[in-house]
Amino acid sequence: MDTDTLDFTRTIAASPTRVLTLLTDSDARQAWNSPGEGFTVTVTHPASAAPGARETALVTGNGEPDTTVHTDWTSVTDTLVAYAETLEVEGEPIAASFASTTLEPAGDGTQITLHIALTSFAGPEMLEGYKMGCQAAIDALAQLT
Amino acid sequence: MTTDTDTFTFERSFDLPPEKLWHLLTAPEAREIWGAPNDETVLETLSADFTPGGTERHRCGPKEAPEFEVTTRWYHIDAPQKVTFTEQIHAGGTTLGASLVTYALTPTAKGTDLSVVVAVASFVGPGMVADFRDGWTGGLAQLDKLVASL
Repeated sequence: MDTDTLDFTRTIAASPTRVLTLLTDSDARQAWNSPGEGFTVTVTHPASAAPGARETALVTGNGEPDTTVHTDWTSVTDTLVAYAETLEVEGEPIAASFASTTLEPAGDGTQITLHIALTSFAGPEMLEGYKMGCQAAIDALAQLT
Repeated sequence: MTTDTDTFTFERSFDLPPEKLWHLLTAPEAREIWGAPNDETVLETLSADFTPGGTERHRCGPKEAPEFEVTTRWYHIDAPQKVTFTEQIHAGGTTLGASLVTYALTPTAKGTDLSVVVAVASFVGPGMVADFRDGWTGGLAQLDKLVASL
């Protein structure tokens, strides 16, 4: 079974309120939530970050197959953002994950702690690719501010 | 706040063909039989939609007052081999935690090997992580009993 967990901690130079917006607003996520340079994220079906809502985005670029990402929001508070993600290529799911991000004030900024549980349906290589994509996205988030 | 997280893996071998074990694992009426962790607790189906993207709602807890609500969302269904879903546990309007669960069924000469991976995030402290572990340990013991009774 191809499963893994990923943990990231970053301190972002923005208030918790601003970081919460960056984590949940469709336009903001389109700007930073990319798996790396050369990829483009287009939110095709925006949704307010409310439990039960689903946002859909398309990731294209670098000669890789177009990937559809469904984000299902499960819990959003001032200090917690949690959602499940499903990745599909040509209508077939290749991975699913559950992510929870906590936000804490840290000086003039905000510390975020991100935990992701991941299952790959496309072999162990997908786990590594997903990890690299998450790393790139969270680095982009930190630089966005 | 922080989240408390953990991942549990359970392994089982059953003298059942994959198709029959798959039914026990995924059919709402079968899940009601084994899904509660012991004989003093209950799992009641409020709604069911076993399709990719579909959601199910259950009420669970002590038989006399099941206080927890569970929302299941199915993400990947590859019968009778693999299924992935999330479960969120709520009580009193608060989400207590969530988990990403994957079942993998492998045919064997005698029946089916089952692997269950449960990745848990508690939003209310480490006690909820232990509750998730206890719930799955108890539920799978109930599944063992159910299979033995067939």
